[in-house]
Amino acid sequence: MLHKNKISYQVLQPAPGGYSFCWKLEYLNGLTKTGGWNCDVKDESMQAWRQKSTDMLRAQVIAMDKNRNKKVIAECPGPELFGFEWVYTGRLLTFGGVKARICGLTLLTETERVACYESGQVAISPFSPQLINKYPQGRQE
Amino acid sequence: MAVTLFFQDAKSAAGANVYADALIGGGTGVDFGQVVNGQYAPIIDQSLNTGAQIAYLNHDAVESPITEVKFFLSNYTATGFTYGGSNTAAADYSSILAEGQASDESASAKNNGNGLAGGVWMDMQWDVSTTNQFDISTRSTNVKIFGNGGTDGIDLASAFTLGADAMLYSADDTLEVDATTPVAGSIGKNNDTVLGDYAKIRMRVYLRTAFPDGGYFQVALQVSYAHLA
Repeated sequence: MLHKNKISYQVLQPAPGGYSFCWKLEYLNGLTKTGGWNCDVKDESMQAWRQKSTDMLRAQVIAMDKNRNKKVIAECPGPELFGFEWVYTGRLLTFGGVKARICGLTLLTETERVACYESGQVAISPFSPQLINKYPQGRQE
Repeated sequence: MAVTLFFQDAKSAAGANVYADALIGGGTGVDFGQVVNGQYAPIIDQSLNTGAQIAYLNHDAVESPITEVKFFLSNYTATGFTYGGSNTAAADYSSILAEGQASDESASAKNNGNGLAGGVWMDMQWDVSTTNQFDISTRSTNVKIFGNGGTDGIDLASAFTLGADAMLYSADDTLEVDATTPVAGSIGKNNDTVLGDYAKIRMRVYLRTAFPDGGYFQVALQVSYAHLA
């Protein structure tokens, strides 16, 4: 059952091996764009923040367990979407340049941040675009 | 867009000053040195509250800051690292957290003057004075003890968010000035004067006078952060 607010979300049961995530954008014309699973690609054209923002129906975070079962773990109406952020974790004291790995995906609106973690847990906190100085411009319109 | 986070003992935008102390058991990282019961490490002069492991965090992202920067302590066990401590990694990790849980938080704890301070501590104010550093009795917003309460700073869910007061801006990797509008948990891009482009933190390991064990202890300081997808 998705909790309804500007962002809908659900907490998943812990899964052996944890969850992987991808972002998904659905448009009014029925087209969709989906990112890779736990995939922070270098090609900007494949990144969520560069995708078309107009005529977007909804934005979603999809979770997948090791058996490839998929569920929508968070979503918001397209016009409410501010962006997505990958969540990383890594060891500080034993590495210089931290070799971090992806451990979650966050959905951002103008007012909320919903962080979805590999454990299935979801953390909700207030968000404002002003918290991010000079967020990149360049969405395709 | 992979981003590399640098953890250094001196500022370098390119991450040239990463820690490289040889660690017992193999690998490199930070060696805090020997901790005497009733004191802390690194230590210079206990009565003057001097000595701390200063560390800088910055990153190489070019499009946007990293956000939600948090710290927690974890078991040392990891692929490629052999535990070199005296007991097991799990037992020593538990001991260090228990030491943090048992720690005193009075004004005398900052330099362990009463022999009751224990655990791994972090001070997240870049320009804190020598006198005030690690004074958890008056600066609990910026001074954190891993394992405090038995619940704090021990996993992703209980991790300590990087304080806004840790953020500074350095135009030349030498001078340090206050970021104009820092945000807790955020580290700006290189040369970001608003959020700041470096986080400066201080760390110490304290041992209570009553702490019974000796030998090497190893734990992993974990960081988590978020970046544009």
